[in-house]
Amino acid sequence: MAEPLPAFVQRHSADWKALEAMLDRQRHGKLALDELFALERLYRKTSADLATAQTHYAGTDVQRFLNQLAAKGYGAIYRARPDRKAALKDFFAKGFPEAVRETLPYTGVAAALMVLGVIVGATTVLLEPTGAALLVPDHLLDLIHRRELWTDRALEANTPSEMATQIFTNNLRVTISAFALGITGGIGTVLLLVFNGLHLGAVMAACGRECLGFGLARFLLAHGPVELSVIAITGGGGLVIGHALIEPGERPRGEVLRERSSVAVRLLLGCAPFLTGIGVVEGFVSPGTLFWWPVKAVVGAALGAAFWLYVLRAGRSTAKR
Amino acid sequence: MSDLKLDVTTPERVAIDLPIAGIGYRALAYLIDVAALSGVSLVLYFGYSFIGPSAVELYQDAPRLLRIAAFIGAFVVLWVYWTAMEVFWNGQTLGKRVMHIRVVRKDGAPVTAFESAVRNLLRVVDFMPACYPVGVVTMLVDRQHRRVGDLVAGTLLVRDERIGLERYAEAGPGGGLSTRDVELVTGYLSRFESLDEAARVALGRKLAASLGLEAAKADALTAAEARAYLSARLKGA
Repeated sequence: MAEPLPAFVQRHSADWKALEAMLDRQRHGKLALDELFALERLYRKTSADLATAQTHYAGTDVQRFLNQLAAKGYGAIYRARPDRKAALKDFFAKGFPEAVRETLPYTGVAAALMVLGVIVGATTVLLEPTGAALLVPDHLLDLIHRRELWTDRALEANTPSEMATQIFTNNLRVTISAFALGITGGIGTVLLLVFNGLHLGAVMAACGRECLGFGLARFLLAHGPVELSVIAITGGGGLVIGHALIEPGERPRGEVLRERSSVAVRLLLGCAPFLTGIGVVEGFVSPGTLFWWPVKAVVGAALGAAFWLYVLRAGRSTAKR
Repeated sequence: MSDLKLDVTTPERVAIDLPIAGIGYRALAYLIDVAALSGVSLVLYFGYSFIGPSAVELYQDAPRLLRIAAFIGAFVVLWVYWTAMEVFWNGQTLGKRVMHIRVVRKDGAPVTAFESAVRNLLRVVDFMPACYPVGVVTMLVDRQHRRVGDLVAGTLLVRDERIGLERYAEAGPGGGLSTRDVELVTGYLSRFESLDEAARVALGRKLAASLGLEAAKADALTAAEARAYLSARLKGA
């Protein structure tokens, strides 16, 4: 027979109050070493009291109070080591490149889908010029017909710069959407990648027909390699999620989804700074004739090579050890 | 009050359960956060427009690179707001603190920076295409009311219940009342002031009768007498 409830409360409540006060101060990080020992002792005692309350005083406010208090103490004591800077460094030295290498086949499929789109879009416009009206946005088509390339004037005044900003935000949107649409079982990602390629192919072909093709190529040279790689990698992340949904294998679907999506999220987080950096190149180097086109080609090739070298090599030697 | 709980077993082999916050709590906390953020931006905007040129014109005249930077900057500031608040403020943002809810990992421990960053990055996905339709549908379907960001990061929101022990202060140590009776009587006494007169009388008579007072005497009690009788029994008389 357990002791009466009020006696139980009165016998222990001083300890509970002490733990409460200590947890409040711990949140502000002001505990000395001997206080930490006391905290640990009080937490264990409260856990034991909670177990007693669950047995003898189930459904009372005392049990709910102890449950809340033990939960607070548990959160304070068993928290992950807050080594945030090292974690960030570790992520870019190892976590991100490893995730890319692990999902390389998906990246390949995403890239292939984009290439497919480009080919279909380009052939359509080349064989049937009126098709351009369907695939290329009106305002771009208008400029192309006037034989102006918006990209040449991107550093000048307002209207073309509007467009260039749009291109960048568009890429950002495509990147994030391609990833997010993985939740539709990958169908949305596939469609988005193909359509994005379709637009690109159609615009290139339309420019080519009006003898602006070389100008567009000059615009794409510097930032194209890295930017398209980043879109392929994050698109691949979307496919990873989609694949986990469609074919989870032997384990529960939710469990596989969580495991695979944590890999995919690493892809997206890792790509974010590269996407931002390449946006700067796209803003400074790519437009206009400020740089001679072979310079742009060299910059583009060097950035692309550096990016892939990093992604394929970084963190490898430590993995072998 | 939803009865849904997150069950956690601590390393001490004691089971704790945390009440899960539903969609209403989450939506209100979000609205409070958005109101606070909009308030700050409005003050900054008008404050700036007051001393300098109009901020909108400034944005329209800015070179393209700066505008891209502003676009990214705004996104990053918002992302950092949610993440930093959750990491440094024990799983709470402003709105979550007002609503007494907090983000925890699915094992009940506090969120790490990575998990918080993930769930707040995927806010964009939950928001698509406008005003959180994706997030709301996911929360309605999921048993633990998680949105897509929570599912991916392995986090959820729990409520902080504030339960005091004041109601037991009056009780004498012995008393001879059963646990159930102590709970009922202290509940009645602590809520006495907020009940209306009819309820005070009805509940008081019922409780007094259940503690063994003869039916005829119990039915003649006024509210004040019932309170005096019950608190005397609680003290162990």
